[in-house]
Amino acid sequence: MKKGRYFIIFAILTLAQALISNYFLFSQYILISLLPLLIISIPSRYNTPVALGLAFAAGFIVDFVGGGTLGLTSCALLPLALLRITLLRLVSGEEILSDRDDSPVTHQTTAEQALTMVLGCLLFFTIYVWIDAAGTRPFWFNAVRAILSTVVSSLLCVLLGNFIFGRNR
Amino acid sequence: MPRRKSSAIVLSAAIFILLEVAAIAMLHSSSVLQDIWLNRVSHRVSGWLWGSGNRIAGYFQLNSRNKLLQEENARLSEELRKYRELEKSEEYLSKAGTIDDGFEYIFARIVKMGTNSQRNYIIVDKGLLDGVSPDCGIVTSEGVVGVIDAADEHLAYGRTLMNPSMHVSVRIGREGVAGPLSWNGRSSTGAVLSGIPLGYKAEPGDTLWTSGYSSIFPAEIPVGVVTGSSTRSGASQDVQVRLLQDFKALDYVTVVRNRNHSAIEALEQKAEEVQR
Repeated sequence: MKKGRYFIIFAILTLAQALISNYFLFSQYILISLLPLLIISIPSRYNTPVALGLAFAAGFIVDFVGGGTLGLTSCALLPLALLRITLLRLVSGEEILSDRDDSPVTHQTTAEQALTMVLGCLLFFTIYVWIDAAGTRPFWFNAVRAILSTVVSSLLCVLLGNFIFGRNR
Repeated sequence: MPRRKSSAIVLSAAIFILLEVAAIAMLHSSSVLQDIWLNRVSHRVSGWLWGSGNRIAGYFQLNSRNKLLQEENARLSEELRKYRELEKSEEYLSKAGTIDDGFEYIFARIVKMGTNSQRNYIIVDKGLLDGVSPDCGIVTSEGVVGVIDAADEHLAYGRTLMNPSMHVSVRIGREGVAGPLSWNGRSSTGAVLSGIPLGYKAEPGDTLWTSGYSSIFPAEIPVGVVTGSSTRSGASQDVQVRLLQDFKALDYVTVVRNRNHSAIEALEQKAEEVQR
């Protein structure tokens, strides 16, 4: 992957997410987010501090443009950025990080990709839904919302990840 | 290499915390709902932290607080005894606040105490400078502990009731028969009240109080309860007593000093000389 390509993808996905946040809210129970894909697909040559910066920026832009609560998305996305390398290592082993230029998702099998996205989305939505509810919703509602959002978003992330980054495996 | 790795982890953690704080700050200022929630969470966390801090500080202050409570307890015991005296008096109202039983109460901590020999002793951290002198009594709110035998400036040594040479004059009930109480030599809570007339029936559960006949202990200190009795050589009976104060669970005591002790002793000596 050329050095600048990821940042173009980053910009497109961020804007797409802002559009989704504005126009594609189907249900109280389902949130759709491409941001976990955005973070997990950061090439491994970019270390964790860079990933944290990108997560913060993406969250801020999405909240700002999408009319959301400023800081909410960043707050939920930062832990995923912090644990991105650990998550990839956990699911696919050390070798997934050996290609430092391409996105790690290009080297994953579909099952690995799906597991990575599910775990990433679950982490993201657990925090997002919890903060968004701010103690005003019951636990069961938050749990259903986080689980349904994880299922829908991880499916979308896997499909989009395959489409954008292709497969080298 | 590991050093570089650990510094990278520290850097990542620092940036993470910084950005999370920034995100929370934005959240705090951009939404009333989240603002209220964050305030509630922060109050809960700070309350927990301060509460834990107080609990830990309280734990380290237990010793000094315990000492204060014991002092307070000694003072209240003294007041209670005075009021009991007042209650018995017909001139209750006219004498209220003016009754003085002649005893002074000095709070002390036990420096050393034996409970496992046949001649047990006690050393307390108050001495002559604090007003403690030989022939002062040692008590707690649970009963009689012993008598001071010797004192230097800062410490005092005494015999405890767990010593065969120690006898305390006690009474069964508030108005029953009085006799000398001594240790039974076996357990730290066992004692024997001897010389009780055969005709007197001591019921198990009856409380024993100091009689006030000696110049060492004030009257009306609870000492123990009757557990049984047995006839002794056909002339009197021994009453078995369970002491209220367990000597193995003692940390603090109150030394009682009779301000009139010297005067009483001098009077007794004078009377003996007259009789001779």
